[in-house]
Amino acid sequence: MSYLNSPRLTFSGKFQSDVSTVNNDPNHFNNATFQPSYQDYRDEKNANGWWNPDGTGNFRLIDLTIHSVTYLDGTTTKDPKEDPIIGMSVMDTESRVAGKMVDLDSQQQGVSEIWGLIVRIGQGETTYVKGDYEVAAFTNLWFSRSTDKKGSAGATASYQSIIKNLEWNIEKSNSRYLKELKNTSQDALSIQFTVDRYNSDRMSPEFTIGRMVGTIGPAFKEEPIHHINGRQLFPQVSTVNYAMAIVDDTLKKVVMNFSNSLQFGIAPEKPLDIIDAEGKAEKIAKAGVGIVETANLVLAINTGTPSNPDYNYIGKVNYNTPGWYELESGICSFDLTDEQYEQVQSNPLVILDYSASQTNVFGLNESTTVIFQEQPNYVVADTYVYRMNPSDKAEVKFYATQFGKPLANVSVTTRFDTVTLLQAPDNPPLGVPTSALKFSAAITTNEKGIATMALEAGDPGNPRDFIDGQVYAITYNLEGDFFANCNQSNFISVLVFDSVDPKIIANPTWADLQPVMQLFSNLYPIMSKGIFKLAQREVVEEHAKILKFVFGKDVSDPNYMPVTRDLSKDKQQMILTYLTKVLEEKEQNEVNA
Amino acid sequence: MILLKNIKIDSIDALRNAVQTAVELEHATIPPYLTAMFSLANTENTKIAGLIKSVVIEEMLHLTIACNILNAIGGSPVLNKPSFVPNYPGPLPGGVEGSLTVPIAKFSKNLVKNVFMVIEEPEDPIDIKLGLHLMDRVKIADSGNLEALKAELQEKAKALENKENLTIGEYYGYIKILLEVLEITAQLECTTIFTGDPERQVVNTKWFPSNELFPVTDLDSAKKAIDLIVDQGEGSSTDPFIKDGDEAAGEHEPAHYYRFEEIYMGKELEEDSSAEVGYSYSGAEIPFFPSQVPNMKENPKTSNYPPSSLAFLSSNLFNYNYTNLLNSLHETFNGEPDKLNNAMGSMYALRLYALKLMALPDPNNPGYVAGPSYEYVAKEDLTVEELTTLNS
Repeated sequence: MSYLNSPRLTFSGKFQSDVSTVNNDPNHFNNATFQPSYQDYRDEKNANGWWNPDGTGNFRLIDLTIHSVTYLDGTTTKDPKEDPIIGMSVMDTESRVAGKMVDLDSQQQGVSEIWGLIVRIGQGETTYVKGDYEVAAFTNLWFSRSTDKKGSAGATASYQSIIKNLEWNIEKSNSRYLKELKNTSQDALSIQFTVDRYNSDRMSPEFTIGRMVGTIGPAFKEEPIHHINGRQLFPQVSTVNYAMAIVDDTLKKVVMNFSNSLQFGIAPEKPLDIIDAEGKAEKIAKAGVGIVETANLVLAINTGTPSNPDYNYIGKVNYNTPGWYELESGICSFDLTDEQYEQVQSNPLVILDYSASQTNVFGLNESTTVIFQEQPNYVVADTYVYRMNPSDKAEVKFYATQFGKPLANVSVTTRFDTVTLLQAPDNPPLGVPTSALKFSAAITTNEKGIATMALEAGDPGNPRDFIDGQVYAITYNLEGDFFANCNQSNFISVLVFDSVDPKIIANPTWADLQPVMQLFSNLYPIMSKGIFKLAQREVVEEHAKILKFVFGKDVSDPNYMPVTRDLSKDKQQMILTYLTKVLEEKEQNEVNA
Repeated sequence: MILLKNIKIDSIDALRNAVQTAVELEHATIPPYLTAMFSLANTENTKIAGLIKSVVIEEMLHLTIACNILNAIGGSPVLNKPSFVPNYPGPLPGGVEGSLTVPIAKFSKNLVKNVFMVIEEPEDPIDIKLGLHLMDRVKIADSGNLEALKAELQEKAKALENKENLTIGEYYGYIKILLEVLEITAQLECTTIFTGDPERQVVNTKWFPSNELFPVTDLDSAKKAIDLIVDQGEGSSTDPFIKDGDEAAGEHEPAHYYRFEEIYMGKELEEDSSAEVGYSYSGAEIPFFPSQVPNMKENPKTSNYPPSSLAFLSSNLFNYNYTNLLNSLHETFNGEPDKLNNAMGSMYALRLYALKLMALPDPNNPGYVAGPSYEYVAKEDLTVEELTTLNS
């Protein structure tokens, strides 16, 4: 079960992502060539520190309102009189610092993760349920989402994860929805949200703010966390993006997530349905941002073949009803007849652009274009972003499905694909040495459709010179298929850190620490300008106690330093040893005094 | 000198209320001090900033101590309500009508002289240049006889109750006396007023040394805690430096009033045998570079910024974080002492939000920058406000 199952809710509003951008240019990691101007905002001539050099990394949920709920029985409401949860909020922490948004690496910015986020459902001071958002990276990044915007403002991406360590406090609530949710999924909740229309104009009142729509529903242990075991709809034209669906066996419905699938743009002016005395349209609707209405989208099952299709139409995708995107969060639900439910078990879903005109009394002229086509056999790595230190081991869990059901006993083949996917010219070389990351070239799924691949990190040996460690990309597909046919977002990104000489870790000097601290000072100016000038020995030593505290925190803690989460375990240990030594010396001096 | 409204404590509940007021009072000084300190960030005024910071940290310590005392006597500190935060500019909590108006303002020597030094002014400050007559502090005599001691204390309490207004030092002195009176009364009945759960005591050596922040579990520790607050704030009437008597000696620092006077005078306070009072501002220079201080318009309010301005958004985010800070402190002092670590994280974040505000032009006032407003926001309120912004 996932956010597409019942009971689920939809919410929409805004988010803030105050990411720091000095580290967006890999060459800024070179202390030897770093210029103070790299900490300035971009101007007309120079890229400098890009668009937000003063970013804190904060990620916040803002103004997220719950608009609809769907109950266990499949009925739904948008009326707060029926369920008081409607109109309430999805919020982040009320009592600690904000979560953080962080790139994996300057050379892999396509899987930005959210760390240390708390999610609460409630209103004002009242929290009905709250928990920890499990670290997640975005996927299905799509740059041509909003045709009226350019760059990151025009892009969209989706996050799917779970909220865990739940604290429920619903005794005082008379929301049927919350009661059903707790009864169905007490330990964890599935959450998915799509972000877009991000504002990176620092002169704008909405600087660092973007739009978010999302869905929360039940989560169960046997399911993947960051993906659904469901039906995968692949775009067949360039104006749409990946969609996914489940067939709800209890309710006999198809529930589809279209939140990251359709384009937004400026809708043209159009006449309203008000006609004046002379028969002219009285008012013209203002041009406004909305979903680009390009097609009459219809969901169908193809019981024929791709070349000789036979469509059983399920229903129209009502994406063009007013407020659809914000109110439904892009989720569409379709009832299946018994016949359709039977057919959908072994036939692919399609979404068509459908038109029909009557040619004469006897004939209907139907015209269809395939806009989305289901990929029947599918495999996906649930967690697809890894930070590893030399000799670390990790397990990648693959989920293979056929028409959304577990696909047992199939082979998943894997290989390095780093340079093709991530290498940019004039940047440090990626993916070498390959010996620093080991994994099996093929693994086989068990009866639950799950295959587990061991990742084992070695020591890259500093191939990127001024950037710690190395980035690797591993692509995969079902045996007999090709990665080129797969969702191009579905590959595994691994950052393997370099090691540090154990003698240095055991007895570090300021000369050993300085380059590391200089790097943070250069790349995260809000800290060096606002709190601690980390590149200065006396500052580090004066604040040894607090620095030891934050450098020693768990990486999932929002107070962890460095915010960028790009510090190797060895360097962390080196810093902590140094700070411990400073503190011991201080203590000794006090005793002596 | 700040004068507080007189109070009369005749029950343990009244005592708890009085300590809650002390908690509010200790907090109320923090936003103005912080703002002045934030406005000195990234300037060459590091020495001044360092002095203010040392005071702010002690105010946070006093807040913590006052909460410990309240918890020790079975109360529950409240920090997570809009009313916990004073409306700036305005009087301090518990202050008498028409007394000092405290603003949120950038650093200036006038602010130090006319506000900060007034807040911290002891009843009889030592005039380090002219000299002043000295007063002995009232010492509570030891007595084996609890009844006699109680009568003696009650007389002292009455003397304070008869005063029209109280200084902060007297206010704490009164609380200290009443703690003792009520505890003696309780002990005579074989009970105690220190009924609080010791698990609620906040001690955290990561942030405060154990000789300054210790559990308050009985009369002795409560009296020691109050003495520390008063001593760090006002000093004694003969010695401007904080007593080093407490176990492991900290740094040799002047009391808050004199630390602020150091800033105002521009020189460090030192012992000076040639001066009549034995001290003078004759030490190392404390330079001030006024042109580097961002020109923040006094007493910013979120609602004063146009909803379509970046200042409005940043002000809201500051207040989010400030509210989170108060909420985490509330949790800290209500049974989850380890949450102090979260609170300190938010403290640092608060600084960053403030610096961002002070780098933005004030949309209403050409030539000025925006600033932090320290408004407690229930997220509910924020949603309504921001909906109008973000949907406009």
